[in-house]
Amino acid sequence: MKPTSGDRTGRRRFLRGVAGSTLALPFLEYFGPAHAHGGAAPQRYAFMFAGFSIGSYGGDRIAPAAEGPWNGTVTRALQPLVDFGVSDVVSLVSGLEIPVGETPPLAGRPTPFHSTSHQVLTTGRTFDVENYGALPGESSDWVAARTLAGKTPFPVLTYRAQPSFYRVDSDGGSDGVISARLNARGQLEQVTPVTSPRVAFESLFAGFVPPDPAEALTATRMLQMRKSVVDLVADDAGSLIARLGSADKIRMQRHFDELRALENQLDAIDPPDSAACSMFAHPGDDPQIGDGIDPSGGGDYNDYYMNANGYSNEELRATVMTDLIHMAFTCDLSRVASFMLTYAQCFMNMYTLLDMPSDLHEVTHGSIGDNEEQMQDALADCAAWHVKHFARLCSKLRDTESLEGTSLLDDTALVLAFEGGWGFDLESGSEFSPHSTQNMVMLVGGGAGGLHATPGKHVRAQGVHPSAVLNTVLSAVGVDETLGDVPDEVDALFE
Amino acid sequence: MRWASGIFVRVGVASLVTSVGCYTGASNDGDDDGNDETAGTGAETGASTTGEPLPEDAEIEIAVSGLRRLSVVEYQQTVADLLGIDAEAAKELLPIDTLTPFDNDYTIQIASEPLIKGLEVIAGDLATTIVETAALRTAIVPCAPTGPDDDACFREFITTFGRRALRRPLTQAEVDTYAGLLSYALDADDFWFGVQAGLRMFLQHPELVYRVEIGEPVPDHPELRRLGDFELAARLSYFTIGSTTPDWLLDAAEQGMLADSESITTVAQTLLADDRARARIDRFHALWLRYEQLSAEGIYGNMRDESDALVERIVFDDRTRWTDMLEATETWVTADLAEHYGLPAPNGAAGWVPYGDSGRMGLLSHGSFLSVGAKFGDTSPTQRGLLVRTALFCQEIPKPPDDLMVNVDEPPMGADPDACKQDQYYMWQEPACQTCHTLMDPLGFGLEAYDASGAFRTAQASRPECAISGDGQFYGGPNGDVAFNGPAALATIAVESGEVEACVAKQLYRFAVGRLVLDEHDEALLERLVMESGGTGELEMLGFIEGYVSSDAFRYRREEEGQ
Repeated sequence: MKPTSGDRTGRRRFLRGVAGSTLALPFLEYFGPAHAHGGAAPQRYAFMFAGFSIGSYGGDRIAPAAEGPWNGTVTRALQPLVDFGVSDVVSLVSGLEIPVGETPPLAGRPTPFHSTSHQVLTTGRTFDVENYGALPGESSDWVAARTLAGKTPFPVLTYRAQPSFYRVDSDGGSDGVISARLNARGQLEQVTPVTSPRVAFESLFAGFVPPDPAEALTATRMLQMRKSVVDLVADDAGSLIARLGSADKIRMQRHFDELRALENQLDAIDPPDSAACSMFAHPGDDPQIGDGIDPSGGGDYNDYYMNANGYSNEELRATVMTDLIHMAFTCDLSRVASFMLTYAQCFMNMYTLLDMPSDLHEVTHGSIGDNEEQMQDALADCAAWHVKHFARLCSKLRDTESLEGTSLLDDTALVLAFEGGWGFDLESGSEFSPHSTQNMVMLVGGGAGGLHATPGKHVRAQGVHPSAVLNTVLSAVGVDETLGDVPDEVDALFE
Repeated sequence: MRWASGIFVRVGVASLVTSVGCYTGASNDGDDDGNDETAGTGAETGASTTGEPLPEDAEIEIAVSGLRRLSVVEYQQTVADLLGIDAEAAKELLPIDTLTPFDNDYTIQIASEPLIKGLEVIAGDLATTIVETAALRTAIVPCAPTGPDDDACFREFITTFGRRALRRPLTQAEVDTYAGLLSYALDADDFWFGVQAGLRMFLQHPELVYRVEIGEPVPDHPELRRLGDFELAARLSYFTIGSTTPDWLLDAAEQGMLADSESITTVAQTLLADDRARARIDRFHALWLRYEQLSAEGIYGNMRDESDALVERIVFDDRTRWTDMLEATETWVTADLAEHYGLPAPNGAAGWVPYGDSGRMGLLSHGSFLSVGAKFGDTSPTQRGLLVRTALFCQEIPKPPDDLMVNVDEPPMGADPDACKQDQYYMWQEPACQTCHTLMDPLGFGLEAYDASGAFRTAQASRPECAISGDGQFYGGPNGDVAFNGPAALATIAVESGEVEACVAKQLYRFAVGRLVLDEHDEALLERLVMESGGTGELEMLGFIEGYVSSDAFRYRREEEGQ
């Protein structure tokens, strides 16, 4: 269904398919049957990640002592749910646990905590010590995309708000990746997220043209040119593949695949007839990427963080990316999103955001506050910053009308996962450490598939694997698959 | 034509055609009109040496090479040199390179969505800037277009810029294909819109974004390939100046002037005289010794300048042995940095000042080096010791075994939590930890009198009662266990060990080949090059580079296993 000539003033229109042009064939298996507007509502899934540990042991600030409905009162870390008015459509699952052992147990991780949790959390598979740091299987977003993506131009939006690891002695490696998929050849590929708001914006809205006819002609011409150029480049990459050795073929094939994906995205599709679908203002150039943190602190610790880098306006970055996910769902440009708010083992400087002169990793180890209470408050506030962006996305989806006349949130399921919990650390032997995957928590939002038929609540799922929560959410959006080696679900989320 | 040492060149007709620049392309479609109509990338045949026998002793030294994407810094420099404009935005829009510590390990590079999209955005920005700036576009397009349908001028742009961008002449088929982008000029009634399309295409082209080395088969050696002249020229350029093949070198390649080691050495010397070579070697040291990511602002920026100045003096200006970098008796500082170190002020805003009896000497005294290896809000003797052992001596120290219950996020703590720092670092005396920590911690304590900014100190910052002696031990060296105090003494130990030169060479070689992991072929070449460039105590870096590029092995490549 195409927009009519009576479009609202200022509304952006989509570029029509370029007449006479040949589209490169979709090559990823995630392109499924076409979505018929007016038929069954498309389901949507968003996975968000916070790179630090916060646990649901007694005395912390995220999980209340009691289970059951919020009744309008939430813990300090979850206050944004109330602020955005979404506590009735968001639940917390606590007590989750990833098993650990010197030899990783099934769906478990090895002894060292850092850089071994998120891979298991997002895939439900046993940590792969041979390919240390890599996700060992498909992540939940790509499993979901197989069912949900349809012919949307973006099978999965993969974003990360924190653009740098912020360590002068490390680039973070696998700590910045939570997404992996199977390519058309059945090979597992780690999926690097887009960290530039500008690139993310221009990619998502590539097919939008201004309403003014003259401007539309210019924009159309530019889009045609861009697509043609990428097609030429892809053709040459394809020709090059044929001449390379087998190892180099694999390298260039990945490049070729990404070129073809971009080419497909430069060819617009008709949007749903939704008044809410529009291109918002360009975010401008990206905020400058902050320098790494010097682990010495340069002398006075507090003074250093008050004047140091380790921050790239993640507040703005996260806001823009949240808005992009919302609009992508609204315009049906994508139905699945994977969004890292922060790196695993996050070293982002929290001073600008929360007036805490420390990086988030050190906050987890008690760098802020003079006693246990103050330390936990600081940690809860850091969690609340992440919860804020999750809650904001929930509220935007709730406030956006779907084609079926309900809210988008009714057909969406969202998760916010934290990297770790608090409990026993096999590496140090400490009984009470943030280097633990005991007592982990996850937030679940949305109304897809019967979720939140009753108001949001605290569900304690002691000892249950966090991937079971993801399985639950996947089933809510109609995905008939479970993750990796974890078959379980948390039925209480539907009660 | 000079004969390459040990390699006899058979000059056949096809080779003559190639050597005078009649580029034929890799795959001929058999068209009888003599034109290669193959669309897509052309082959690199280059020099007229196909079929020549390979010296037996050279075969073992030929290294594996694979498709290597330009690092972010290399891409920035490449487009800046091609277009004459700054490309700093690449750093913000492209995914960061994984550091090994180098930024160019092709075995771990991944072509990702943010890479492809970032390249497309950058290409658009740069192309727009070029066509909208008269002076810039005139430099790129060597003719004055008569209108949007000026096919001849457009083809001239495609041909000349394409040669520079892809680092080789285009085939006729490629020119014909890319010339089709002129249709956008016609559509827009603007010649420069077509140029914009062409620039966008070239700036995203895989043969610009990657260093493609294929080469020609070597008889009786199915695993080996001989590089063509353009491939060789690109390899020389990126190794020495970290950027695209300059026009004069493209010309030399086209004229077959890279056929022997003497010619290649001359080319390398010309490239090494370029300022970009200095920046390249500066960056090699910064990546290798882990200070590349330090802030460029304020005093840390001064420290980086200090180290760059010493590197350039030893490597380029004086061309003395590399170990002189460890034994330098003066340093280049600003007034602020001199005051920070407790050294005499320079004449003017910045300059060389003597270390005198300060206890400092050479690169190990620099704030840049001393700033690395910090942890828990202060210097970490363990991390500093680890850096010296692994980076300077190429020793391998494994991570702690999983069953040791180590918490890497908490500072080490001995029996008394209130004890001074020296007593908290107990691991080197623990039986389960000794093997590794004895190599690191006592070494690090020998540098402890210098804080993480390189400033001298006599006590812990927050504990004035905890005096810092700066006494350390170098265990397990070729000259036995040696007590020392301070970076100057450590530098002497390093120089006298005779082990540093081989490690420096290995690190530079890793940087050159774009691989952290070396095999027997690499080791064979390295052993000979180190010996020939002076050996123990006499390794001179540019001499090593010249020896490497003039070797037979440099002109070849080995396919990765499993081909």
